Amino acid sequence: MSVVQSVFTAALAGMVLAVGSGCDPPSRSAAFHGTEVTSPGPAHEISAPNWDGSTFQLAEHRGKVVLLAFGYTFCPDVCPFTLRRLAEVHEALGDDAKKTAVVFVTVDPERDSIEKLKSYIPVFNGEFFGLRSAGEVMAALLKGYGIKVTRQIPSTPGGYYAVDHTGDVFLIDKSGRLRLTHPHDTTAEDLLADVQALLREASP
Amino acid sequence: MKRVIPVLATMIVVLTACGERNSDAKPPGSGIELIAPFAYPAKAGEPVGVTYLNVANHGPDDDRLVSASAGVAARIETHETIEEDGVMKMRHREDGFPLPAGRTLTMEPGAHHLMLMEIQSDLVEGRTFQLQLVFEKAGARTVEVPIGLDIDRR
Repeated sequence: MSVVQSVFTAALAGMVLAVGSGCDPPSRSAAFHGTEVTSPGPAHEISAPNWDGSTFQLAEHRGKVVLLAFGYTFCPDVCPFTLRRLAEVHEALGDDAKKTAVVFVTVDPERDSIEKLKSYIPVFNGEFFGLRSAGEVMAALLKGYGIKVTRQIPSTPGGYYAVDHTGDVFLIDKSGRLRLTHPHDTTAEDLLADVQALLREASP
Repeated sequence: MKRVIPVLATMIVVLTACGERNSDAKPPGSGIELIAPFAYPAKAGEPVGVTYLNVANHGPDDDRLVSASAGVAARIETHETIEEDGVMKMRHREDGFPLPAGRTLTMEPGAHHLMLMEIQSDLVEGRTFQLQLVFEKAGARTVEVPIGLDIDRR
C-alpha cells in the first residue's frame, strides 16, 4: 500500500514538476533517488554459475534493468534485509518484473557453495539469481563494482566469522550501463521508483 | 549468587521509584518494556540467525542488556552492524547494549541485533520461541518471539 502511495505521490510530484518548469525538461539529478554514476559506462561483465546450475551472463540481459547486490548467506542481519527489500520491489513491479533481473553475488565463496545458495535464494524469490564466483574472476568482479570485502577473524578458532562488505544496491540500465547506486538502507519505494524510471527510458 | 544481586538491585530501584511516585508502582523489572520482537526463519544446523526487538527503559536509572539466551540457539550474542563508507561491518558488543533511562533501544537490520549462534532447532515461519534476556538491574525477563520473513519495523 505504502509503495503504491509513494509511486502515486512521485507521479504527482513529477506532473507538478513538468507543469511548473514549462518547456525545460526535468533535470536528471531530480529524476532519481539513488546516486547517479557520472558518465555511465558499460557495467563490468558478470559471468558466474547461478544457484540453479545455469550460468548467468550479464550481457544476455540487455533490454532489462538489473538490480545487483553483494552479500553472503551466513550474513544474518543486512543481507536478508536487502534481499527481502528486493523481493518487495520485484513484487510491486507486477508484470514489469519480467523486464528486470535481480542478482545477488556472494562475497563468501568459501562457505557459500552453489548448494547453499540453492537453499537460500529461493526463500526470498525463486526468480532471483544467486551467483558464486571465486579467485581471480571474483576479485575482478568485486573491483569492477568497487566492492570492499574484509573477512573477520572468528572469536573462537574455526568458529563463525562475519564478512564486512559494501552494502550498496546497483542498478544497471537496459543498455547495460551502470547507472545508479543505492545505499543499504534505501527504501523499497525509492528503489522501485528508480527501477521504473529506468524501465521507462527508450530501449537500446 | 550471581542472580541474587540483580534481583536485589531491582528491588532497590523499584523501592526508590515507588517512594517518588506512589501511583505508578510497578512489579520488579517492569521499568523495562520489550517491544515488537521478531526473528527471521532459520534451520537447525545453520551457524547463525537473528532476532530483533525494541527495549524501552521507563525506569529512573540507566540499565544494560547484559545477555540473551534461547533454546533454539547454542548461544546468543549482542551485535551491532555499523556502516563505514558503504561497507557494512558487524561487531560483537561483548558488554551488551546500554539502556539509558527514559530511552528506547531500537534493534533493526543494519544496526543493533541479537545474533543466534549455532541454530539448534528449526525457526519456522509463523511459529514463536521463548527468548530470555538478562538486564543488569531489571534482572531476567522472557519474551515470546514470532518468526517471519515479512515482519518489518522499518
